[in-house]
Formats: sequence, C-alpha cells, structure tokens
Amino acid sequence: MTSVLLTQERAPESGADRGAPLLLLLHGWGMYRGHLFDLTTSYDPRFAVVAAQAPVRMGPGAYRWFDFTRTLDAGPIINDQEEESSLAKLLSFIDNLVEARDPSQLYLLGHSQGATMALSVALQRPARLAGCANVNGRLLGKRVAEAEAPNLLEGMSFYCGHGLHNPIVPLALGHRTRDLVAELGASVTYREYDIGHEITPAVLSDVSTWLTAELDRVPHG
Amino acid sequence: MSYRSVVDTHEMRHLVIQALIEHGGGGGEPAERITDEMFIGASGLGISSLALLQVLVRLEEQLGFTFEDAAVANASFATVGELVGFVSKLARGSGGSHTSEGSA
Repeated sequence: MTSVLLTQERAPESGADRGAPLLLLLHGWGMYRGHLFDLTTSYDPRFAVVAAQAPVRMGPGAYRWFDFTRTLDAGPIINDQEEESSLAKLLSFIDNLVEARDPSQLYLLGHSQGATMALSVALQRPARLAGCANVNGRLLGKRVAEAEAPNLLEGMSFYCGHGLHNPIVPLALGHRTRDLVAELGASVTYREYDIGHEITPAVLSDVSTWLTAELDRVPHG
Repeated sequence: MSYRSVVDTHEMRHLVIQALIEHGGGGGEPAERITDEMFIGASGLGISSLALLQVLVRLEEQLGFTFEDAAVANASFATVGELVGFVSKLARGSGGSHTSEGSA
C-alpha cells in the first residue's frame, strides 16, 4: 500500500533528515497539517519535523482521521470503517517514512483524534517508536484488545495531557488511557490542564520541554 | 476560462448568500433581507462552524475552485460582507486553485 497522506516538513538543525530524530505531528478533527506544524519553532531543533494530514477532507482547511458521534456519557462513538482505513494509511506512511529516513528516534505528537491515532500506532508499531505525546486523545478499546503482549509498550515514553473540562473526550477517558499505557509497560508523564478539548501554547510548551528532555535522556546519532 | 470571467462581485455575493441560506443561515429570512453587515455566527445568521465549512464546500463546487487550506484555516470573517470579500479575494488567485478533483 502506498502512502497518500499530504505532509509539511521542517529539516533538523543538522541539515540531514536521514538519521535525525523525527517528530511526526498528527492534527485533530477539523484541522489540517499546518495546525501543529505552524508551531514548529516550539519544537527542539534537533528534530526533523513532519506533519501528516488526515485523509478525509471535510472542506478547505479541515480534515479528519475518522468521523464520530458525540454521546453525553460514554465519549465519542467512532466510525470504525474510516478509523481502520485511516490507520492503515498512517501505518503505511510511517513505515515508508522510517524506511526512507532511518530516524535515530521517532516520536509522535497528536492532538485530539490525531492523538488517538498516535496511540493506535504505538500499539501497532511499538518497535518503530521511542515515544508518543498525546494531548486530549484516548486509546480505543478495540486497539487495546488487539494488544496481546502484556509489556507491549515497555521502553517507550508517553506524555499524556488532558483538559479538565474536555467536553469531547471526557477526563475519565484520559485517566483510562494513562492507566492502560502504564499497564502496557510504558513510562508515562501525565498532566491535567484547566482547558477543554483544545491544545494551548502552555500545553505545547510542556510537550516541547518533555520532548527535549527525551532527546537529552537518550542521545541520538 | 477563468472563474473571474463568469462571476463578478455581485454574483459572488449572491452565491455566498444562497449557500448560507441553504445551510440554515437566516432562519428563513429571504435573501433580500440579508445584509453585508450581518454576523454569520450565533449572533446573526446562526451558522455554526461546521455549517460554514459546508458553505465553503458548496462554493467550491459552484465555482470549480479549491480554497487553499492555510488561507481558510488562518482566516477570520465575522460578517456576510467579510465572507464575500474573503471568497472573492481567494477566487481572484491569492489563496486557491482551479481544480477538477479533490486535494486530499
């Protein structure tokens, strides 16, 4: 399967994409690849940065990984077909990206359903990733059910940030995601914010600091 | 044939207002009563952000034109007149492209 995701990219300060640590950005529902990418000055310059665009076009400047229906108490109910199709495309995209660039480390940063996609990738391609930053996303139950190895995420680092007043992905799902990731063996940094479902400069600043600390902790190259 | 040769500002305004009405704007008000000064959102025509997206898609279909993602994502328009101006500006060639297929 070939990758069909559009991207926007920033080279690392070293100038060489190949072998550099790689940060892959996954935007949320109704956004586009530029949403997180436009903030690239926030990200450690050692990273090569790639922003992938979700494959389902809703309109100009607005794309999604999958459709969903809101519920009052159980969180969003997702369109399984779209989710599975988008995940297959994203996995193919990441496989191709890693083959082409051979990054020293690969980190994902996702917001909202981009974070949910990042968490699914972590379960499907644990050997590919060094870590994952999840902002206002959640692990999907069906993806957790597929995770057979008890320590599937061992050796990986996660940053999980969640809004205290999140009306889309309730805080309880943020807690559940944090706990599941930890139970699967990952090292988890969890923080709550006095926000809703959005991603704010304060959150991005914390994520950026965490990513820099990750690079410092595990020297690359 | 470029878009500009077939749609002038007056026609563009008509297309925008028709698209707004089609997507629930104005609560049944006739097009003649919709002015440039009216707000698009909850304090005016009552168009939600999702409905506004559908309005833009409708305009793309009618104009054979695809708005650039960044131009729309970074835009700010509160009133009907601002939306007409925004669409007209992009369609003149500074934020979109003529296409016959989707960009995603």
